[in-house]
Amino acid sequence: MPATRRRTMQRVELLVVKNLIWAILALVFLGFSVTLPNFFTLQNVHFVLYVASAIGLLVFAESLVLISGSMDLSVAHIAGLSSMFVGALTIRWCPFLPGWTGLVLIVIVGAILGSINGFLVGRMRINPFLVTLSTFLMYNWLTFYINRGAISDVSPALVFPGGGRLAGIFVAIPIMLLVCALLGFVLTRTRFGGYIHALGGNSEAARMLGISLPWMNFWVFTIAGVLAGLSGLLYIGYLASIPSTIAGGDDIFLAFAGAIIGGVSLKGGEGSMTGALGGVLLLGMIDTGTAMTLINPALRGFLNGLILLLAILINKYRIALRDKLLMSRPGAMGMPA
Amino acid sequence: MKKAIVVLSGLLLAASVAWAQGAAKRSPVFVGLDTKTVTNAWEGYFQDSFEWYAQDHHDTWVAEEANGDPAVQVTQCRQMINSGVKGLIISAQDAVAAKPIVEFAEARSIPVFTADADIDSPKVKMYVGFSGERAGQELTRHLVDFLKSKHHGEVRGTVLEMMGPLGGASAIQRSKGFHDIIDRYPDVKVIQAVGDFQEAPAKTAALNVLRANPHIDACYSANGPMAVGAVEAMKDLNIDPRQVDTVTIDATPSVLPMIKSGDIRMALDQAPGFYTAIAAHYLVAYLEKGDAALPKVGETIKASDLNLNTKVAHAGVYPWADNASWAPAKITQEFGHLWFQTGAILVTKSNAGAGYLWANIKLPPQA
Amino acid sequence: MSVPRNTGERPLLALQSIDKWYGEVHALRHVTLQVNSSEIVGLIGDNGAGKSTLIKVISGVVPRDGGQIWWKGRDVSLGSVREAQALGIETVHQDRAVVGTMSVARNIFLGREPTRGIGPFRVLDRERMAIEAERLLSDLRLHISSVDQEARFCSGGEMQGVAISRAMHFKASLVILDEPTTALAVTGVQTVLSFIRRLKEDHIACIFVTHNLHDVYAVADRFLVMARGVVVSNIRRDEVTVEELVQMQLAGKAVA
Repeated sequence: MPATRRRTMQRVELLVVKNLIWAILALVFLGFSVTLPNFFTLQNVHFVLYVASAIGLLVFAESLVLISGSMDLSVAHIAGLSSMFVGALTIRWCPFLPGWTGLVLIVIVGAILGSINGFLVGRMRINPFLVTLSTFLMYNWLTFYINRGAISDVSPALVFPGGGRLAGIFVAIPIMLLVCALLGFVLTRTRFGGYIHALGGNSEAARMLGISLPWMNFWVFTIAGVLAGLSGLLYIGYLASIPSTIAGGDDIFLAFAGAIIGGVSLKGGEGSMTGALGGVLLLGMIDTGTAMTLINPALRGFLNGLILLLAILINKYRIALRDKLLMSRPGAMGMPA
Repeated sequence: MKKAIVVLSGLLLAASVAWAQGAAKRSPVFVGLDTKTVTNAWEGYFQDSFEWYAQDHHDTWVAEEANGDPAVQVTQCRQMINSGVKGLIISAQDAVAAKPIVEFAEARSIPVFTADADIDSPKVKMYVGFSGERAGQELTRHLVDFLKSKHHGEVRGTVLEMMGPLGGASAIQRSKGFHDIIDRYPDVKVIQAVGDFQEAPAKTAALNVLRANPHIDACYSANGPMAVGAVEAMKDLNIDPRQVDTVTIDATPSVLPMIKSGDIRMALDQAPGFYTAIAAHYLVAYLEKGDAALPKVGETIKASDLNLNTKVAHAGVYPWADNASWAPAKITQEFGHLWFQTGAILVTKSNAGAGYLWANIKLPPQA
Repeated sequence: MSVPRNTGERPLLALQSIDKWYGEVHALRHVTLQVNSSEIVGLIGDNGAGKSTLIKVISGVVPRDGGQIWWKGRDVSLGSVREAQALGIETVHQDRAVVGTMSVARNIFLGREPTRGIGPFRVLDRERMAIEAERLLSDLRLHISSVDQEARFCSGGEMQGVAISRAMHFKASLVILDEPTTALAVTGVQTVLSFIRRLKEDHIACIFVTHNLHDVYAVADRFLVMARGVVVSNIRRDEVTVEELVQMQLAGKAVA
């Protein structure tokens, strides 16, 4: 029957459109593979995933906060301060502590730093932009205060998650993927995850239905802090040291960019972890691909921005297309099936 | 009127006390320092040594950092001048944007000295710093020697250049020094990666270009952290860094262990601790004797010509006891004013543990 | 003010001297009223009369500043939405309280989703939500093609159905409907009114807040007229005509 076939086709279209980030990723991958000699190799894919791991966790953290209807400018510096603090603690101040305590501590410190944001936004009801701007500055300067240079004699336990390998594969990659899967599960399959979407989609409605906004905000920012702490851990391993500029610089911008390109809406209520993963991989792939073209570095940067713009435009088209598909489905809006 | 008499008599008292204390200890001065940023060990030590030097001479001092913002630097310097500093030492975030500071200071007869990063104004009294361009040239000559010996007398091969931020003055100079020498050899292929003077971006950039070009012979890095990042990238790609001739400017604390292990062959080190001390020394001398206190263009200042040792220990050492890291210095000109062009010291495995290297000073964790 | 006497039956909900301030505005002034089980009470009044505030107090969305509330004879605080829901007070809010980016099924159960699993490992029971949602909507004779459809693609009437389904599912003793017929077509209005009659059949009380006096007159047993934060009239349907109600709403006071 033509009607059911039409419906099936529409369902397929919808599926593609909802996961367009992966289609874009495949397209870009194909494009680079065809034009660059060394691109289409296992080693290359391996390294793109590796480099994406540390920043990926920051993207997940930011995505979580964005979906809940807020924003967090301080995630990168939570990563930096947690790493620096734990590094200084376990290596300089209390060297008697075994290396693995650092792993536990970095998560705890991240949680605490995030919970400060959570308290100020959730309970004190201060605008998240203002709160995280202040904590951004505070955490940044605290990092420098602890140590201005780099801590290079980092214990192997702290370096392993971010830089170590198991059977040739960088451990950071499965860590990142596992976190992504876990967060995705929580967001889509648990009550708490649903409340995060509700908070971002219509916080008034959530409040009127008995969802506690202060607590939700508190936990969202605290979890973001935990993710940021983990990201800091991966950065330590990536560099095998803890420079004071760890997770600084461009990273907060990339955290937002990866999330938004992956379909997380700035308005809140929309987005997924898999989308965010797609976003961070796309950014990493574009960066790698343009670096491998080995043209003038300034032009490379320009090319990077251009491809990014293309991806964003396609994404915009995707959203419009998806809405059109959803609205025109037979049965929608009470129309006869 | 009464207030003025009190202040004046106070000053007279102070002056006579100072005079009575003898010529060895000079009268205390109120000096200010404004650094462009303080985000790494080098800059930290640069600022610390200013504070120590001032403390040892019982000077009143104030130190500010501009967070990488030229406008903030102008504001901070004006505030310091308004609060009564008798002299300013500046490491300029932007050579041109900092010019108003010099104008403002000159209007109040306050001498401005620059250290590490100069200001484009003839009214600066003197600039203390090394030449990034010369350093790059010297390192590249060593690198060329390596290529020559590796390829049986021919200068050819592939060299990875780690570059600082594309717009930065110091990055531009250090890159220019490299290209001044390496561009003479048409058989040498240069691949560039932008590391923004930091480890993490350097490692990522190096990972990317090295995957396309794994067979490199040598690496020139415009600063220490980027060299570390590049070496980490090589290790992750199973390229043996000891087979690659890596040379870098700045022997930062993370570079020294790599020199000792052979991952980095040599570093050309500046003397951040001396920049501020030398500038302060000449600033105070200028305040007492004016232009006569400053050296003349063409002079060479040898290690024995300048004794800055205060014999007060900081972090377990006498920071200015050994002049080996900067002497001899040439006096030249830049931007219409004097340039105290410090030398740089070559750091290799043989002297990586030397006490006069600033990176070997064990600064306490809360530097 | 004539207070209806139900023979010996205690009121389901009783409010005594309720006060609420928004800053300097005295939104509710010593409001006293009662609602009995199976009773449909129409709450009317002009804009700014305090109807919405009163509803928010009863449904637990905002706390009151003064006064007492009794539920089934017990003194309750009604400090939170959860508490109100636990007592059996369900509210269909004026703006439907619907999250547009979530599905219809999720919206119906928002805040109180069924879960399966053990201990801390509880996941959403999506199947049950879908089945229940479909049943509820068909009970209301609403035909949304899929309960997984995002709520923002539903019409006003469908969203109303979503909000009412909530109240139906969670077995309320008292359902508060805040402007349920606004922005509905005629068929939509009829559906809502028949739903309200069904509530009465199921012995569920209802407070029906509306501007639309003709709609509420058709189903209500009693009317409470509010103006400037005070209940100015408490009158049974057989004691008043629609026109008189209109008068009272305009004048803001009881008509003799």
